[in-house]
Amino acid sequence: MRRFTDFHPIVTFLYYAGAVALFAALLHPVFLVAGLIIVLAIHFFYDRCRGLQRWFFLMLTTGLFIFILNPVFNERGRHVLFMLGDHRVTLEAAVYGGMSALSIIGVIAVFVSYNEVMTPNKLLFLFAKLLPRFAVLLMLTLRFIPLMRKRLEEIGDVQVSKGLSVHEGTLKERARNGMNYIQVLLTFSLEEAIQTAESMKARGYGEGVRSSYEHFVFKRPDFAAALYLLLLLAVLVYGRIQGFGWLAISPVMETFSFPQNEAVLLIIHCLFIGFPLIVETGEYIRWRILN
Amino acid sequence: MLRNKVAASTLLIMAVILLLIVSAWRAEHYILLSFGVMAAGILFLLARFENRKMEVGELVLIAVIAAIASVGRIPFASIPGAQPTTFVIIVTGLVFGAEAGFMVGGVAALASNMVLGQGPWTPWQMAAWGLIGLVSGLLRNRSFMQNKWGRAVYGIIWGFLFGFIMNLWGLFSLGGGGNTLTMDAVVAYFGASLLFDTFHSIANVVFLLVFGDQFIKTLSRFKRKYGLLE
Amino acid sequence: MAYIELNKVSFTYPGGAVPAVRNLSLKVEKGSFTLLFGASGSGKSTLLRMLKKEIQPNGVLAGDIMIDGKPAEIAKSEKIGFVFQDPENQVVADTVLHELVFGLENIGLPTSEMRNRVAEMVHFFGAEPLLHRKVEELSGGKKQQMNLASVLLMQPDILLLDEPTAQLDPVSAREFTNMLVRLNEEFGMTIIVAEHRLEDFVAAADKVVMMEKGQAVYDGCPEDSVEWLWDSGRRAYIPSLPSFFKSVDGEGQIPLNVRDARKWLQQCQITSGKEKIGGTSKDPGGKESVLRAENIHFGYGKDADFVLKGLDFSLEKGSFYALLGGNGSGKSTFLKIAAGIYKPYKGKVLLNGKRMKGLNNRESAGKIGYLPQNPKLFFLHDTVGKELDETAKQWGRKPAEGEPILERLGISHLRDSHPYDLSGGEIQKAALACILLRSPDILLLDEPTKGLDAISKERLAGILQELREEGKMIVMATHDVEFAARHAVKCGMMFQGIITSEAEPKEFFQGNFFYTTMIQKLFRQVPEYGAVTLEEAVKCFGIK
Repeated sequence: MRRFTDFHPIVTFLYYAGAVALFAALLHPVFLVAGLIIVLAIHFFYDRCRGLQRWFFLMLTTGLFIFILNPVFNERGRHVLFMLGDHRVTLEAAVYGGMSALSIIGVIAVFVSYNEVMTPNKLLFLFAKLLPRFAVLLMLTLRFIPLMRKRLEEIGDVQVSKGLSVHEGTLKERARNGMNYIQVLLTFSLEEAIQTAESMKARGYGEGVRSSYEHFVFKRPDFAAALYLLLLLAVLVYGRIQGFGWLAISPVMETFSFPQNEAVLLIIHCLFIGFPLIVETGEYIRWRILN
Repeated sequence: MLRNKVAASTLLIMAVILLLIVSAWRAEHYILLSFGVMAAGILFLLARFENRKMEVGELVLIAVIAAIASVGRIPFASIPGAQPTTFVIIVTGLVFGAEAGFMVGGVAALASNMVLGQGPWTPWQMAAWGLIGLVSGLLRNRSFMQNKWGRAVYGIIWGFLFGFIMNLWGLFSLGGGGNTLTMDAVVAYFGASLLFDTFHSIANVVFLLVFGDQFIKTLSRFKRKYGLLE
Repeated sequence: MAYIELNKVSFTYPGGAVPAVRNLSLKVEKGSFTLLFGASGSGKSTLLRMLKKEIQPNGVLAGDIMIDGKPAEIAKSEKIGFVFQDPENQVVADTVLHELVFGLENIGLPTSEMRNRVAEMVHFFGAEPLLHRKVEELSGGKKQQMNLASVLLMQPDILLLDEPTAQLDPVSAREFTNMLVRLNEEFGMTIIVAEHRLEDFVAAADKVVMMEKGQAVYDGCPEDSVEWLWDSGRRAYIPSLPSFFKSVDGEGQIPLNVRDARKWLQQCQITSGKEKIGGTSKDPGGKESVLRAENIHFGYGKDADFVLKGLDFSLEKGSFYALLGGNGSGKSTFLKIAAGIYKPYKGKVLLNGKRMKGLNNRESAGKIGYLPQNPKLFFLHDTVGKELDETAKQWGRKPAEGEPILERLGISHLRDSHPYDLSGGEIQKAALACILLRSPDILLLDEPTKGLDAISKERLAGILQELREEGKMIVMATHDVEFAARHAVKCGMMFQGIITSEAEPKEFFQGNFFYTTMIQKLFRQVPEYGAVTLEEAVKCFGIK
């Protein structure tokens, strides 16, 4: 039941880029709430929100911070909710703060899902198409990070055996020892990496035009999915330019109405954000029919 | 190769012009504009990096330093606020120049976010650290950068500037489409990160003063060893 | 004309006083297996690198190098594969599949072709389950196999390997060697391996070349090479079985493996020699325990499995303890616990009857010296002398106190060298010098013989014996059964986080079937002559 993750990285990337853009651009309470509910549903569907839990605190504090900050510093607006000393707390500011908070929470939630689905492998694949040399650089760095972590541990062990620790002694000593660890790591790793460069040259890197291993094949369903996402996105962009899916607050907050056009746009918005769920439901139905 | 280069530059110039037109038309989108300019700048440097002639050793060297910059925090886990990432990037820019500095900063940010989890902050972090490396490389031949204390002041400035750039993405979500923010809000928002930025600056200064020369010496040794003399 | 032909080749590194390779001529036939051996620094690596133009070092080259009748400079890069010594450093990608296809991408192959080649290769190596794993999760041996596979995917005609098994444990090294033999026998691949010992490849090679100071001092067939080494006084390089054969003036074909050696021995009469077997025990025995570990439990990280599961250990005064065991049995982890680097979760370590837990890092470092597997990580400063001076400062010694130590270890001339410019044996001694300056009572050594050539190993053994006689206690974790059998006072076998057996070397190795010395394997069929080391066998038996 992981049809969505099997799509070609271009499709997946398109979905996530679109979803982030929608959360940032469609600042309208109904759109934001609907989008957020769907993203939460996606998280629930895939792992019962387990992945989201790690980020929960960050999302809550960031959201709350933004929600509060707005009315505290922004006095503009006609509808005064209450006075705090001689500070006007307005409905406009509160609504705006709330929308900003929802937007940022939504974006982070989308990113959490992105991190689970867009593995480094897929991202590297995308880069390899556009920026081959940068892709190799990124691949090397990703390979070196765990290696450096392991070496740093080894260095720490050896230096501790000499009585030089980052856990004992004065702040000055600890900082000095920590920096010495980094210095050893740097010298050692740069020395060793000469061999890495040689091994790359020995395997012909930098000689001719490089091809890239197509880990992923762009199949018919990928094409259909990309088309679906692009079409919806085009309509959404058009709607946004026409002034729908956006609650005007300054200079004057528009009265809260929800015209038909906006309702249509909302449905399209939901169809875009809910793409993974739609795909999985389709897959489920197909599976039931086949069995 | 040449065709690529011309195409890339044309595309970039057009993108920048387009951005300027849009911003003239809708003046309130200054944050959007700044984001656009940043993205165009990053793209330009990436295109340059792709098309330049380059030693394999240089690529490996950048990857090693970027990886070290992104794990550099680990030994300092017991000291609040201390992380040598910025320091490592500055020193790289000073020794290997603007482009290497930019790549180390950008890749360190991107790769460590790929390991720890991406967020909306990723592009800003890439830009901020990339910029540190870039500027360090551009200024490396200035007289004040030859001197320990000059570098220390430079480190202080970047401690705060880094915070400033990172705050922009928060501001972006705060200000978003409408122009509802007052100066007070901005000041308060930036004030909130001041403590953190101060720690960052202190760490930069201490590292640059105590370890700057040593690291510059080490990196210069490898510059010769890898045959990377300009 | 031979497939690979070197004609009076000399090579000098920039700024090098003497050439690294001197006036060397060599012929290698197509489909042959050549072993290039010699001490570290003899020019083996340089020679190999000259055959592959992409990694030819900078410097002055004279003479001709011809490959398949054409100069080496115009050979196609994918036709010559190169595998380096360190399994870790060659890796450029974070997953196995990415790593395998790296070379194929570089030569611009289309994906379908890459898929075919990878499928075949993975089948050959039996590595399907590893294909999507992270490189980090592989053992050193598997990593080196992956590096080989990545090179083989480019379908080279010639395979050059620079000490490919030096960093591997014996089991992985054997696996790797067998793979090379298969490549040579089944696919007719031309293989040249540089190694600093003869053992691993001598049985597989068609041709052995010994290098010394940049020159090929021997070039001939493997059987004769033993004869030649023996006669020319380079006996340290001869593996123990042929060495035994020569020591007792054996007749006939020189045996290179246990099977042949047993055949030979069956035709001989064994008589008692000058000395009685097992006459002298090296273990003084019955002394007080200095370092003691009781019921140690330890694991990396909260949720990880325990590496040590109730380990008990005791080190007596004057002992030289060798800790043997497979990869991942917990040898290195235990050394780090004993050095006070890690604190056990459960159980206690007692040093002179006092609990180690009460000591801080500095205090335990004053009593116990730890020499890591990779001594490069030991050095914080850019010369040996500076490191020594800083150590003196840290421990309140006079800087002059370092000199006699350097002199004694024979490395005074390296005082101003960068630690990384030293050879494996030299850097080990430099680290040892810094440790000895703290004058600890106990030395803990992790794999001290890894990557050392025969001569350096002998010197290390000499130093360790001297230190033991001065009253220092030594514990080493090692895979090197021959070294342990010859020099240790006591051996312990680690398995699954505890020490399962412990005895004096003789008794210890006689009880083992796989994990034992070549000489013991040879004499297993005649239990009354249970010799374990070469010296013992030579002293105790006469062979007719």
